[in-house]
Amino acid sequence: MPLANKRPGGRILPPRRLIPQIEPHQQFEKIALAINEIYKHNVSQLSFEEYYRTAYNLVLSKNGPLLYNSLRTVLETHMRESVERDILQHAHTADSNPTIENNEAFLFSVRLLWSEHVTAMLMIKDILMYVDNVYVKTAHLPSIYEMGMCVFRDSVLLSSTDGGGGGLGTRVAKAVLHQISGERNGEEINRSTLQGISNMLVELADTANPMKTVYEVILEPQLLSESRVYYRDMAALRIKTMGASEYARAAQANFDAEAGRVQAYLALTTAELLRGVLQDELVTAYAPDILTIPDDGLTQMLDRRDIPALGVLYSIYSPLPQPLGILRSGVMNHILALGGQITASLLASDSGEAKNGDTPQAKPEAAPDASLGIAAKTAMALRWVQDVLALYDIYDEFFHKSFNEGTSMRSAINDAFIEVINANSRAPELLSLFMDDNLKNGLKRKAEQDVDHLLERSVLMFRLLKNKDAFEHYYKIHLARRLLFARSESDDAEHSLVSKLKVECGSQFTLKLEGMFKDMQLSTDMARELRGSSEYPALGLDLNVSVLTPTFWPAMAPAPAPQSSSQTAGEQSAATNGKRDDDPMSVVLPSGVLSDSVDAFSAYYLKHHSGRRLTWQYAMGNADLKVQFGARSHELNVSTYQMIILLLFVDSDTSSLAKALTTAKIQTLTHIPEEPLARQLQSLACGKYRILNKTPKSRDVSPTDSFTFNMDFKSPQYRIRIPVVSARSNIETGKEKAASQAVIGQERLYLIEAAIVRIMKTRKQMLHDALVNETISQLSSRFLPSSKMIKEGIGKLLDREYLQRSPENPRLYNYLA
Amino acid sequence: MSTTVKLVSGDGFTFILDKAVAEHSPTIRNMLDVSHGGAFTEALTNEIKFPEIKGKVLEKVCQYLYYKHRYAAEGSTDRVPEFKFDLELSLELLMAADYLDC
Repeated sequence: MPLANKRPGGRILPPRRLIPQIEPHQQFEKIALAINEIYKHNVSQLSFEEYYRTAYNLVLSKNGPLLYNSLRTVLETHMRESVERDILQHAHTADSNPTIENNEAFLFSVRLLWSEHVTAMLMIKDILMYVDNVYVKTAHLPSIYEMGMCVFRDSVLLSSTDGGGGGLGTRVAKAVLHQISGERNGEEINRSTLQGISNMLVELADTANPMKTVYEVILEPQLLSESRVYYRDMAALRIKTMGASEYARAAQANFDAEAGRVQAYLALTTAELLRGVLQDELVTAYAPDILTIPDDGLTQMLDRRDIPALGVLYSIYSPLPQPLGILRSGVMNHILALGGQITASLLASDSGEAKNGDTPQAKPEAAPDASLGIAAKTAMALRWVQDVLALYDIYDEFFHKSFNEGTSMRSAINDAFIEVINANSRAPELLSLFMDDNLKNGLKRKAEQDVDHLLERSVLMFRLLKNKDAFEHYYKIHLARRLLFARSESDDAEHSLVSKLKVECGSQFTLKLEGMFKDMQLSTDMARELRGSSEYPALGLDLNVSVLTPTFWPAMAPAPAPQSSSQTAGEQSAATNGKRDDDPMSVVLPSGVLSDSVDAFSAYYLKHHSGRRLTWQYAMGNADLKVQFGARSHELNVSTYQMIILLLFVDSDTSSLAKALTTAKIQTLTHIPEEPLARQLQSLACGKYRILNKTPKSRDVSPTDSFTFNMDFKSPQYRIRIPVVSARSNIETGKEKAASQAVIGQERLYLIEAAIVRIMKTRKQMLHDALVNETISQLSSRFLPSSKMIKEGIGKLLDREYLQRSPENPRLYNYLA
Repeated sequence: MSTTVKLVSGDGFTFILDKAVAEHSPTIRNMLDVSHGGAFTEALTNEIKFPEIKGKVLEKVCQYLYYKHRYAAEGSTDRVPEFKFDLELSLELLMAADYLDC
């Protein structure tokens, strides 16, 4: 209160005591009595003011220490008496016969004393507030409430009231542990009693280490070590009797139960520690064993597609780095095994019927070149892609539904599939073939989202592919065939796929593919213009030409060529397709309408695009021919080569179609290369539709065989398609594969050299190893160059003096501008 | 439950205050507290006797409690006027303030 000097001359009255001083001990006696009444719940008969005033006077008369110490003695006495009266008998009973009920009674009595003590102390502390505020503070003693807590700890929990069994606190801990183990074994216990006991132990500070609570000293360590033993035994038993999914579920149930237990009646700090114990004993200790439980381990869970069980398994493994690693590699190995089987069955079928298909180690290179069964083999190849993608779908589902989309599982699955896919050296070809097949035949039968899914999955496999350049090689060939033979079902799907590839690999990668589309578009535009122009009649037949830019398109070495289709009023019609190319035009066209037409087109084209050169590729073309067989006429759809061959039988002598030509003669006349010629003759003379007769009659074509036109050809259909070998995209034969490998290898060498030059141009100087590593990292998005190839590239660049070895250090290269 | 409390001085004067005002003294607040599960006589009767405080002093205490209630409110921007009392009471008031912890 602020002072006011209202009357400066006034006399300040000294405080006057209304009640005479009483002897201090007598005064405290009053307080001691009050405390007893408080414990007896007789508060309402006490006047707060009276005891407050008594304590106040005691402190004012400097009797604080007397009050404080006497209070402690009173409390101690009270605690001791209460223990003897209310607790000891329960403690003895619980000790000699530790049933759930006896322990409960004992713990309940302790808890009751505690809660009464706390209530009493709160009141005592209020009555003695003046003592706390004035005396305790200046004397630096524990507050009255704290002192009361210490009294409880020392007089109740640490009291060793009799022999055996140690202090009461130890017995409390023992009883709590007994209750917990009872509950673990399915018995009913009173959780609220235990909760009260835990709170009590947490509230009290330890004597030796005030930073720790009594809970942490007398209960928690024992709880953890008992739990450890309990779960260790349990795990040892379960691992022998349970399957992996059952084990995982049981463990998960334990985790949940213990978490619930901590939540309900233990200190929250225990949660983490107890979980650690369970993780150690239930998971880490058996991490590999659980997964390999015979007949019911991880493998079986994966095979059963037990998504919920895998989810449980993942949830108990995933928080632990080491077990998670074991789970990862378990899943990976299973993928590798399944993927290996898929690949093996492909290779087995590939290696031919001779081996009966059960030798998976057979090499695809050993595949017989026979065209026999090539369709079946192609189907097998498509199956491989399909099966691998289906497998991926399964694991993708696991990833989303069981593995909680954890990144480490994602990478495990992807790594495994990378290995599976790249273990098959034909993967780039097969993937491209698969896309080819679906773009040609598959899409119509599927709904739009299925198409999307299919394309997405294909692109996914592409992403996992290491030899992306090899894929590009095949994709170009397959795309070229789809475009030139107009076999693609959906332009949208084609473009969407290319744009997906672009997203994966950048525009560099799809540049050529887009160029191919552009060429086709330009050719269509040009055809339209040509039709409207005055030069059109000069063509003489319906000629469709695709003009292709050679750098975009695959070099059509084994089965190359252009294509066309045309029709004359006469008995034959032809179609040819041109292509600008550097190859000399070797194949000889029959003179007459056809060669005139080709010349007319060339003239038209070169007039509009000066400075370009057209090279005609006949191997890729096809033609519609109207042919008269005796009384009937048929329309034949044949390849350009076949057309050229058939025309030989007409032009030489119009009256006699029956003349005979040998294979060798046909080659001299047409210059068609030997191998395609044999194939074309085979399809004309030995296939389903025999337009030509061959002598001798056999499957194979030899140079001396002779052919005549089959005037007696009959067929119920008017329009007949002669199967063209090259028009189908089949799996490559061993020889073709080797050729592709050579092309890809050459391409790689160029890319490596280009990369080295690019790197050296910026760095100027580089050590060998650094250069090799940099080159690998630059090219890894397309393929993985071997260091041998890089070394070779460096050697060539040294020879051509792009690079120079440093005179001081032979491992160091200098760039020569 | 009553919202007022009766304070009785040693020489028999009675003062009736709003409980909320009286509880500005922690001592009084504790006397009336029932939150620990037990109520002292004071809390049951809403009457507190102060045998060692004279009526004259207790009156000033009551005035002070209202004064404090009026101006100690948190966030109050009012100018706090001087609390006036007779100088001769100052020592006794000091004692009472110490006792009542206000």
